[in-house]
Amino acid sequence: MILRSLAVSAAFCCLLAGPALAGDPARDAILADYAAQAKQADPSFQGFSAQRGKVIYETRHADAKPETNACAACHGEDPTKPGQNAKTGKTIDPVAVSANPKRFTAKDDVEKWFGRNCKEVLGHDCSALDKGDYITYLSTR
Amino acid sequence: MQISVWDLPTRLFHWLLVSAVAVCAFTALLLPTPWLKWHFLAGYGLLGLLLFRLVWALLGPEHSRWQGFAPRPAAIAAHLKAILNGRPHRSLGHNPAGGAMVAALLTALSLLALTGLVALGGMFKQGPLAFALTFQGASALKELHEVLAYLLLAMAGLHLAGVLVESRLLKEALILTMITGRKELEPGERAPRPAHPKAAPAAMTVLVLVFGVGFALSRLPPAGWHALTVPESYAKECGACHMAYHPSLLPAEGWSKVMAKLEDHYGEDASLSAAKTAEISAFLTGNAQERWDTLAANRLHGYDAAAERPITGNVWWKRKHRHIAATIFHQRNVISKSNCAACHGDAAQGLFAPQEIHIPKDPS
Repeated sequence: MILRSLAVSAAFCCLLAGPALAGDPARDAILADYAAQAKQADPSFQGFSAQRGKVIYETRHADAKPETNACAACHGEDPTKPGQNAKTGKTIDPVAVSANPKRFTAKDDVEKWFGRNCKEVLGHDCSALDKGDYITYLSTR
Repeated sequence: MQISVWDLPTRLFHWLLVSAVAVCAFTALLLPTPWLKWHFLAGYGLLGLLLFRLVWALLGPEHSRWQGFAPRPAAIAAHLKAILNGRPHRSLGHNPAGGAMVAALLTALSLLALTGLVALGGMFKQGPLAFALTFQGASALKELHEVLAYLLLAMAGLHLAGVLVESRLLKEALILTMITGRKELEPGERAPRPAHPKAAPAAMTVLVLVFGVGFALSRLPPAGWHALTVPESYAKECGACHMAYHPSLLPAEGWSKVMAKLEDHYGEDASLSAAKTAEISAFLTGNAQERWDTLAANRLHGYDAAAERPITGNVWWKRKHRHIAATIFHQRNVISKSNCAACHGDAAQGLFAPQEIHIPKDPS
C-alpha cells in the first residue's frame, strides 16, 4: 500500500515537473542557472518553453552561411538521429536527450557550443531564455 | 618418342610467375592506388615462386637446373648467329640464348621482389623489413624498383619474341611445350634426369622457413612509427568537429600557427580556454611531423602558410588526390576533403596504407 502510493506520487510528481526536469541533476542545475539569469533580465519570466525552443532549433536564417543556416542544418531535422558537421562531414551524436542522455550535463561544454554556434547560425549571442528554451525543447525529444 | 622436359612444378612455376607479374604490372601501372594491395599480395607470391625456383635450380629435373641458364658468351653468340642464318641449333632444354634470358629474368625478378619489400617496409611501414628501414633509404630503392619493372617488361617481351622466332624456325611449338612439358626425343639425344627425390620437401622447407621468419619479423614494431595515445582533450575538442588529425601531418611550426588562431579556425570559431589550448598545443607540437618517418610525414613535409588549408592545400596532397572526382568529396558520407577518415581506414594512426583506402559509395 505504501509502496503503491509512493509510486503514484512519484509518477504524479514527474508529470507535474515535466520532462525538462525529469532528467539529470546536472542538466537541471544548468537550466536553473539559465532560469535565474532569465528572471534577472526580465522579471516577468514565466519559465522555459519547448515550443519556443523548437522554433529556435528549426528556423532557417537567410543571412547565415547556407550550409550552417539553422541548428537543424548540422544536428538534423530529427534531433534524435545523429547529425553531421556540414563542413567536415564528421558525425555528431544526437542532440536530443532521449537519444543521448549526456546532452546538456556539462556546463562548460554547453556554454562553449552556445557561444560558438549562436554566433555562427543566428548571427548573435543567445540569451539565457534562448538557451533554456532550446535545452527544454531537446529534453522533450 | 615423347619425353618430359619441363616437370609439372616447373610449368606451374612458369605460368604462376606470368600471372603474378601480370597482376603486379597491371595494378601498379594502370589501376588506382587502392589496387596496390593486390600488387603487394602478388609480390609476396612472386617471392615464394622465386624461392621455389631457387631450390628447383639446384635439385629440380635436369633442364630446370642452373647449368641450363648459366650464360656462356661464345655459345650465345654462335646461337644468335645461327638464328640470323635461319638455322638455329635445336636444344632439348634451354638453348644458350634462351637460358641466358631466363637467368636475366630471374635476376631482375629477384631484385624487383627485394626492392619491393624494401619499399613496402620503409615507405608503408609494412612487412618483414619495416622494423629496420628508413623512409629515405627505401624511397631511393623504390626508384630502382620502378626502373627494374620497365626493364623486366622489356625483357619479358624479348623472351616471348625469342620463343616465337625459335618456334617458327625450328617448327617446334615451344609455348605448348611449357604447357604439356613434353618434347620429341631426337636421335642422339638422351632423356633428361628427373628431379632429386627430396626436391619437393626441400622446396617446402625453404618456403616455410623463409615465410615464417618473414612473418615473425613483420610483427616487430616498424621504425619511425609508434602507437600514440591521444589525450582526451584533443579527441574531444578537436575531434568534435573534424577527425582528430594525426599530429604527424604537420610540423611543430604548423601546429603552433593553427593553434594560435583558433577563434578564426578556417572560417569557424573554435576558441578554447587557455588551459585546453596549451594542453592540446603541447600534444601536437610534441608529436609533430618531425617525430615520425611515415609516408605522410615525409611527403606532406613542411608548412605552407600561404596554402588555403595546411594539409589539403599541400602540393603532394593535391597530386595524390588529383584523380578523385570533386563529386566524391561532396558525397553525403564524405562532405569535405578534410574528412580523411571517410576513405582512409587508418588515417587516425597516420599510416595511410594503400590497402586501407575504401572510397564509400554515394548514398544519395
